[in-house]
Amino acid sequence: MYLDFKRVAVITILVVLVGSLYLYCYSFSYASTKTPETLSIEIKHKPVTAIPANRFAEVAVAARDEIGVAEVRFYFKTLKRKWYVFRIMENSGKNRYSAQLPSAKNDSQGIDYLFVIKNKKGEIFKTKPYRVLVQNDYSSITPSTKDEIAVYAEITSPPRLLDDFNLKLTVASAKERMLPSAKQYQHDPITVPGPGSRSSSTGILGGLGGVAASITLGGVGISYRAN
Amino acid sequence: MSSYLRSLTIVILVSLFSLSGCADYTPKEPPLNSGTVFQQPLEAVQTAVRDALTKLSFAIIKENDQYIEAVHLKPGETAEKNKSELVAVWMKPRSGATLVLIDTVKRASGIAKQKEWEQPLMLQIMKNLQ
Repeated sequence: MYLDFKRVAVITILVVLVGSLYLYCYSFSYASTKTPETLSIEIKHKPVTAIPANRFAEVAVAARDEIGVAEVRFYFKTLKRKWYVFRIMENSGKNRYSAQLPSAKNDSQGIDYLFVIKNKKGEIFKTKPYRVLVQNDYSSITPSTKDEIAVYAEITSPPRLLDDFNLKLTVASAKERMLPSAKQYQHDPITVPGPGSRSSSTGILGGLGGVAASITLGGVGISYRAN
Repeated sequence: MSSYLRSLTIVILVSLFSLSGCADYTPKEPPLNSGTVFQQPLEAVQTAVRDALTKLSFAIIKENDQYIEAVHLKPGETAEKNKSELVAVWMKPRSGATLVLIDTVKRASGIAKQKEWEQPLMLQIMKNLQ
């Protein structure tokens, strides 16, 4: 079988071009750079970004300290509250701590939460607050409100009962207040997009800016140009 | 042979056009003169921006002190699985005031159902700061 060298070369070049473009597009991801940490503590958490109303969520954090971790607290509140309540997180092994975020009511809009970690030397660190979007779900059954969970608050004279969530929170005053004195934990820096003009992202042909291609093979000739 | 080449050409062209659907989904910071300056400190504006995003059904997926990225979720969608717009908000302190810049990035597929969020977001931020 005789193969025209020119045609083979064109086909090869096109295949390489297409393959490279695929790799470019699908390898694009948000990269974050790590800066060297001089703190003894390391905290890792995959945020809960959204939950449907009437469903609880498991929240977990990995907390490790060279000196040893004494206590991990899970602070949370609905948007209508100015102060947090907290629960002590359970150690589920391998530096992993977990707690349950109670199910939120419809129209809660959102919940804020954060973690406070105290090491065995008495140093206290807090993470940044995370925001969870509560998506309304009027089709699901509202869980029974007979259940109660015990939480603590770091304010003077908190109300005994809170009904911000589907189950009632019985609130007690915390013996040790950690939030006011906690040091802010330095999270990994994130990549922030910089200035620049983006080629139109509208329309099916808007994606490949500055690309032109022209093919004439076996009697079929098509050209493509995008700006 | 020529029919083979024609088929191959068509396959390659279809691949190229489908790649154009892999549009740039990365936000870009708008020009500094296109934003809105709020006469409020950065912390107050941060809170107002977060609350505005939550009010308009955005799930925050990335943030630091001066930048927030959020994805608009429709009922049933999750932050991991959605076909929705991405919004990026830059907050730049300016001597007691804060400049807010917003960029909306739409997905190439389902574009008819997506919208620009700069105006509704700015209005909600203003409302929150009142």
